[in-house]
Amino acid sequence: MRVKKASTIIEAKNLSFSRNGEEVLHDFSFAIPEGDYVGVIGPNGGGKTTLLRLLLGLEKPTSGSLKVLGTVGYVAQRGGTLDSQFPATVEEVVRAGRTAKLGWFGRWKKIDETAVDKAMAEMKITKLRARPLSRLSGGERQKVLLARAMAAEPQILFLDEPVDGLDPQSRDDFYKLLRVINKRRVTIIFVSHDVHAMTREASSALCLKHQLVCHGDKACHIAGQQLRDLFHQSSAELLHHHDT
Amino acid sequence: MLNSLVELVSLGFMQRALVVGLVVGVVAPTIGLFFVVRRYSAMADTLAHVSLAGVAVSLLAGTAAIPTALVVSVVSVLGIEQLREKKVLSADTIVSLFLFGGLALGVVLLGLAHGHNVNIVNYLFGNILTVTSTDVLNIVILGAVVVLITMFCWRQLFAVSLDEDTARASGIKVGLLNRVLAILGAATIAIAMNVVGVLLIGALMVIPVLAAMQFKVGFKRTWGLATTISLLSIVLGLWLSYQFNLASGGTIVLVTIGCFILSSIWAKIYPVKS
Repeated sequence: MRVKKASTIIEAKNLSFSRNGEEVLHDFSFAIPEGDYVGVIGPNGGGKTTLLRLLLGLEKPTSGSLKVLGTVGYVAQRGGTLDSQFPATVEEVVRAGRTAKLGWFGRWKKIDETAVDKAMAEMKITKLRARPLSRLSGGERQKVLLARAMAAEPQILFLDEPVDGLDPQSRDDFYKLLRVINKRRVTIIFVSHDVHAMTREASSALCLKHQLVCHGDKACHIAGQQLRDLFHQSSAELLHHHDT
Repeated sequence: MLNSLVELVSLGFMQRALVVGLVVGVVAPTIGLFFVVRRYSAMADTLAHVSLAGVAVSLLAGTAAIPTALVVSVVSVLGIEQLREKKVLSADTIVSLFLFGGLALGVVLLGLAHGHNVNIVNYLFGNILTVTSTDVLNIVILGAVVVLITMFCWRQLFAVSLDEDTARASGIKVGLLNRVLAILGAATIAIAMNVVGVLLIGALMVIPVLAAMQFKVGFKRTWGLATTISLLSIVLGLWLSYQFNLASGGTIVLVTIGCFILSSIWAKIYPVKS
């Protein structure tokens, strides 16, 4: 039986980005196949979030090219720019995920209602649909934001440290949901500083510190010394089993 | 009280005041809601001060006050958005420059227009009881346009207000919507100028929304509550100002503050169950 090769859904060629004259990302080239689950790891300030913002189109590269072929969903760290006191119910927030799909003149139809109900059911937040955002726990809030992203039926899901600040149970629940989503061939790009979790959850790793350290299988072949240089920690603490 | 209300609505100037008040009562919290949740409240004051310069221009040029103020504030607001997007200066600095610049320009131009029989107090503090039939027509048309555009863009404005980065990443035209919202804000101020004056317009856009937000309900219900509070405040404020011969603009704003205090207490005692 022939196995169909996954097509490339994200491609970066010689990508660089500078802010205020300082180079944040230097000469990145990589390709991500459709359906992959990529853990983007690297030290704080290493350019992980900047790379994500470039992929999302929130920043423009200084040089190089970038192709993102598919509709995107996004879950930011601790809700990103979303104010926890924003006066909106869970259902209103999830419905907002369909806005771009509907455009200016699109009317809310049964198909939109179904997508919203399905996203809420999958995240197990249907019972919370009338609850205001301000009355949710951190874990519930992140599930709502994931549901909003999934309501758009994205082909690529970008996550920026979405489990930061959550308790262990909420983290596990969140990772479980992502596994289910990834099984449907939704490509996941997960930015995290938790190397251990990414080793367990992701199917490939993209390690960076201003430049691409390695990309590919999560047990990418970088020496222990390189890993220590990357994180300024001992490799034992990292629990990231790179070959030496 | 009923007799006095009947007497109130039988007076021609009061009928005009009520029509204008009801239009403002809907428009101000509708746009104010988006300003508050986006933390744009300072923008309302800035636009109000800039529109004072617009009034001064109209006095010197001999044009109608409301359309001229609208044009001047729209031009300013587009300048503010452009500078904000380019990140030339911080958002606070840009807003402050336009706020004080607008006020200063207004004062200088009003000084030049001194010989034009100017009643500056009406523009600063408003006098809803002096609106003419032409004002009423302008305000009703402009108010209807603002409400219709807001309803048309409601879904997009909500998504952008909720989270600008996510909206932008999903392909929503955030820059365009920011400009649309700013222009709607300028139009709201032009409409409300006669009711409470440029110094108190911000209060009418912001306080009913803050009062409604005390109940911690969804977005549409917050809008419904804010509009109800705003309409009640305007009608009650008008009646009080007529009964006790008080300044109408100030009275209306004081009533909205009273509503805010009552809402805070009410929401604490009877929190809305979800």
